[in-house]
Amino acid sequence: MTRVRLYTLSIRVWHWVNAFLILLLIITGIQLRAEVRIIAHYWQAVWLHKYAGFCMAGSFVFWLGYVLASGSFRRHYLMRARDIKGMVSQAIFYGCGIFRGQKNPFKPSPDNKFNPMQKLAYFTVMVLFTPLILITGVLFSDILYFASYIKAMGGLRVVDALHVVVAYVFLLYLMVHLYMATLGRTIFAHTKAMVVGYEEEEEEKIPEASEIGSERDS
Amino acid sequence: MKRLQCAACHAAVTASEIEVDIAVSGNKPIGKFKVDRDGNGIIDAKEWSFVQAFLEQHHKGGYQINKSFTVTADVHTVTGKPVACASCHIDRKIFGRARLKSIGPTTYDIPVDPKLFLEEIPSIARYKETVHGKRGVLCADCHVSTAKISDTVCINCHKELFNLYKYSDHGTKDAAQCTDCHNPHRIKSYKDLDAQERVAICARCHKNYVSSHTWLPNTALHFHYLECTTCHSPESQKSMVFTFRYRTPQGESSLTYEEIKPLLPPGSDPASSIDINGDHIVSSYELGNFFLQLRERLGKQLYLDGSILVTQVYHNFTVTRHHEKECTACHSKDAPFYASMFLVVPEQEGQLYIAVKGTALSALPISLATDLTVLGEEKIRHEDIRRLFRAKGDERSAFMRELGLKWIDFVAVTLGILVFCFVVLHAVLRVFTRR
Repeated sequence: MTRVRLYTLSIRVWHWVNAFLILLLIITGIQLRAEVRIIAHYWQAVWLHKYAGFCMAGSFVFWLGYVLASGSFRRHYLMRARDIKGMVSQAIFYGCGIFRGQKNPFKPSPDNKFNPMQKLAYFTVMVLFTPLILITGVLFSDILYFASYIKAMGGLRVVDALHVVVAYVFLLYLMVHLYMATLGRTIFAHTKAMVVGYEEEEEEKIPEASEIGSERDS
Repeated sequence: MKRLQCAACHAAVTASEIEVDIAVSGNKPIGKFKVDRDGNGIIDAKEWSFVQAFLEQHHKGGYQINKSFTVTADVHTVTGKPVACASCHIDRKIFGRARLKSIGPTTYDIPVDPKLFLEEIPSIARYKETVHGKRGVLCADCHVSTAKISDTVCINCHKELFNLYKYSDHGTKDAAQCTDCHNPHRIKSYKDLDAQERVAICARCHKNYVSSHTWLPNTALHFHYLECTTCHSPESQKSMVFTFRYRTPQGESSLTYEEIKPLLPPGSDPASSIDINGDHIVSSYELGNFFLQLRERLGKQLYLDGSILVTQVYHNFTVTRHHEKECTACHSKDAPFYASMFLVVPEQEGQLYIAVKGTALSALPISLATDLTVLGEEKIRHEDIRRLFRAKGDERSAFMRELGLKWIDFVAVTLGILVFCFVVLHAVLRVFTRR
């Protein structure tokens, strides 16, 4: 077994703080949208949703600053032409190869943490959906203060619709994200990696010279 | 007399202005967005009420609004005979301009609606346009002496209402007479007043209405859409009321009959132009259709506004509801005002309330009601889903259109179920293939 260091302490702390905030936002968001009583009072759900949202905005600013300053954004999140080809083989693996015991075509390394499908998902969530839900959420935090911006975006109903659509995207993304987290070497391998920072990989078996020779002979 | 220069009334005024300075304790600057929220460069009644709400919330007891009425006049025209009251209070030939100069350490120079500082006096000439005037009430019917009119005069016609009112806190404590709230010389009837105008009536005595409601999140926003009696008179009927409004560089205002009439086909009136099938109920299709017709002529500055108004008044306003601070009383599908929605249509005399089909709000195109969204109304409900599957043919396609933004919930929940099924299927296959 070899240990591949993938996540720094800062990113691990950010991930779990963000996970907690998103969970809180989803729970309170469901109460606001679906009128299900999860938290005792509606105003408490509003309050929690609002301030958890502000915290998430802070968490996003930290993430953005960190990944830009460390070069991680360029290395791990930006899609490259070769990723398109990789995406196909990755999709074939998830849809078919995984059931046949084939090896994951992607091997994470400190210089390339995410497979092409992960790249696409994380890039879209962090660069498109998170800013969109944060901006619309902040606008909703004080409708009068931000009245001119809300009007510029097309009005309250447009902002509301955008916020809700992105919230549903987050919910769907979370379902898939939680399931994909179980697709490691063991069910909890990826989750453990996000706690301890490294993933354990089976060492590649290097064929011995005698084996190579016998292969050539045959 | 303390505020006015003699020349304001006794000379030919060449220039005049009302200057407003608000002294605030502390040196914290107050941004322009606090006073001119829509950024149109003029403070209207709505924005002024926000300014006051802001001061009450953040500088309670530590602010003072100073108004100075300055005139430039030709001293050679001084005369003993003063100008008519109407010059300032109706025609506004004098003091037709007002400007906000500063709030605390922040200096501005923003025009303000002068009516905010110089009240319009009741016009005798326009008395016939008031509700009383239209119904043939004569001056002598109320003005039986030179003394101020008391409730005994109003009882002559409004006995039933008064019998209810006199046992309420306002009545038993002799807090307010009928005329303290109902100005019989107003051109508008009570039902023609919008939420903020109604709040302003209560605020004449209850000046602390903002600071006593700070428990209410977004206090100023709530008072923008609600009137006091929405909560403080539980037995009154509340309705959701839609109005046509438009924005101009001078501010926002409701569309009047005179503005709508020329836009309609000859011989038709606004009510019949909206309610095409004449069933006295406006559907989302009829409302949208009429709105787009108006927008073609008036441009994108036209919009549909909404507020929660009392449409049938119960004259007991003394319920404090201290123990019922539940947001879900309004922010839920069970809110009472969803059961009665009205479109306010300006008529030649007053306004007409036409019932609106309950699903109108969610079905309206988002470009129509840009300033309006009500929590609880645009979420899909069980009955919507049941109706969608049970309806057939034309009824189904009409209902699908009415779902409007509720489609977001419908599509998302369907996708959620599909994703969940896919995940479960994938997991089961992994178990079977022992991966």
